This record gives sequence, structure tokens and C-alpha cells, in this order.
Amino acid sequence: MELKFLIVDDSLTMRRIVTNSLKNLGYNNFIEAADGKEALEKLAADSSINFVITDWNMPVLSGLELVKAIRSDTKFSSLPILMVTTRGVKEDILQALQARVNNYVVKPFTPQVLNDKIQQVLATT
Amino acid sequence: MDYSTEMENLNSKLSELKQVFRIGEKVIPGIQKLIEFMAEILPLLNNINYSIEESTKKIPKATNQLNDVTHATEIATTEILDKVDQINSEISQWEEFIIKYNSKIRKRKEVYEKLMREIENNPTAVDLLNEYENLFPLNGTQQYFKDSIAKVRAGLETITITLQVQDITAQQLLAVNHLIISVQKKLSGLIVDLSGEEVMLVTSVEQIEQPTDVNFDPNASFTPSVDKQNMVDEIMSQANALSSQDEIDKLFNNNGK
Repeated sequence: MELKFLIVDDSLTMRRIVTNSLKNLGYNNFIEAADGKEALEKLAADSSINFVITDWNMPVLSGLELVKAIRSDTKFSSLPILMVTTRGVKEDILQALQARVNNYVVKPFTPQVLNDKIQQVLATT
Repeated sequence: MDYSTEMENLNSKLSELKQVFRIGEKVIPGIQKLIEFMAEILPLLNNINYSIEESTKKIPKATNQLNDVTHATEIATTEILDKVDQINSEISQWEEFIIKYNSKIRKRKEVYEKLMREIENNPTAVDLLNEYENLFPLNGTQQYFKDSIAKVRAGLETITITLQVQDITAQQLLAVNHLIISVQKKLSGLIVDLSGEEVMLVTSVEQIEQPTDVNFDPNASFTPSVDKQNMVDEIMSQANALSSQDEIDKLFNNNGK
């Protein structure tokens, strides 16, 4: 199954870095959103999205709120979600887990770490 | 009430009034000193007031400049990432070329071996063929190119990782801006008009338009170490060992707060 990523980050730089990393890992199918609200709209409009990589700190709708919104919809209850964020304290990680993210990457990350986490998520979903 | 009682009351009131005048006599020099002190301190207060007002007026410019810095670094970072993309694309073409080149090297080796068999009885011809072969040691060159490409790729990866600093500093600048805006609000509340008869709050200072939807991590830091990720992985593995969401929720209630 070909993966189609939805990359959600308000930082243009980070969206570029994530897509570049994915390209180098051999993935070529992705769309982008600048905040949680836009991400939800894109998810609703494109049923072929099968992997979400989201930042936490974003305007309009944060990554955590996005994860909660996705999980509240039964249609997306098993959609793989990887949180990629600067927030690296235990309380944040636990909050993200409680919201039911599948895995968590702390910025700055290496493409290898990103790939490892994607593979771990795919192995468990 | 009879006359004597009225006189007693009057006497009592006069005694009280006398006390008030005595207290007044003692207090008036103090009040006088206080007025003199106020007269002396008023220009100083005006100066402080003016300084606060001027500083407060400069704050919107400072916050705008910080926003400009974030915007400029984002544009610069995007341009660098464009270049990284271009170089990656070039490298991919080199790799394709090397793969095509591999088959030519194999063919060349086959031709060399056939030729060697044909001329093995002619030592001069063998020497000449070996000399020709050594002029172009293609196997070594190929390895050199592969190593160089690997080094360039590693360098590009490091650049890409390092550029994540732009997002992190952007969040730090947002945190600073937030702090500056809070300071401006406090300072605005301190500015008073001392020139009139009444002391009034000055409200003419330009307020910064604070975006209400900004969300940033005030603790964002660029520390490319594996420690944070290791801690995340440890927590994730603990959570994965739990079988239900209820158990995970219990873990948060015990450890998360």
C-alpha cells in the first residue's frame, strides 16, 4: 500500500524539511496543511490520506487538538499519527499519548529517527 | 436641657476643638514638608513618566522587527532548502550515471581479459596493454565517486537537520514577543497625566495588535541530542506495554501531573 502523508506544521521550513526527509526515504506522496483546522479539511476532502505527521504548536487549532478531533471521528480511529514537536517534557509526551498519537518525535530530528518512527507506527497499526 | 448642661456641652466641644487645633499645629509642618517634597519630586516623576511613555511607544516597533526577523529567516531557510533539493537532484543523476557506468566497466574487463588471452605469447603487447589499462584505473575512480557522493549526501542531511533551528528560534522569538507585549501592557498602566488638577491614566499609547491564535513552545531549544528522544521512546514503550486506554490514562494520572 502506498503511503500518502498529510504533513501539518505552521512553519514552512519544517514542512519542507519533513517532505525533503520523506523524499530521501523514498516516499513521494504527501500533502501539506498549515494548522489543525486546515488539516481536518484536507482529511475530510481526501480519503486516500493514510498517515498524518503533525506539529504540536500551531495557530487556529493545535496539533494536540487536531489529534483529539481525528480520534473523535470513528472513521479515523486507526489512522496513524506521528507527532513531531519541540515539546520534549514528560507531561507533554503523556498528554499526546493520552490523545492517542501513535508515536512522538522531538525536534530537531534526523531523517533516520523519522523513518524509524514511521516504520514503528506502521508495524503497530 | 437647662442652661448649665448646655454650657457643659459647649465647653466639652470647645475642648475637643482645642485638641484638634493642637494636633493641627503638630501636623501642619509635616504636611508642609510633604508638599515641599512633592514639589521637588514632581519633575522627577514627570521624567520617569516620559521615559516609560517613550519606551512603551518603541515596543510595537520592536515586536514588528522580531516578526520581520522570523519572516526573513524563514525565506532564507527556504532558499537554502531549495538549493539542497537541487544538489540532491544532481547527486541522484550522478548515481544513475555510476550505475550505467558499472555495466561499461564490466564490459571493459571482459574485453581486457579476451585481449590478454589473445596476446599472452607476446610480452611486449602484454606490457603495452597493462600500461594502457593502468592509465585509466576505473574501479578506483568509481569507488572515489561513490565515497564523495556519500559525503555530500551526509553533508546535505546535516544542513537539513541544522535548518530546523529556524522553526525553533521562531518559537523562541514568539515567546519573547509575548513577553514584550505583556511588559507593554504593564507599562501602559503606569503612565499617568500629572499636569492637570486630577491625576489621570494616559491611554493614548499605541497598543500592539496581539494575534489571539499564536501558539508556541516557550521552552523550545535547539539541542541536537538523543537524550530527549530516548526519554520519549522510553515513555512510549511503557505505554505500548499497557493493553488498554484506561491503563494508559491511569499511568498519566499517576505520573503525568
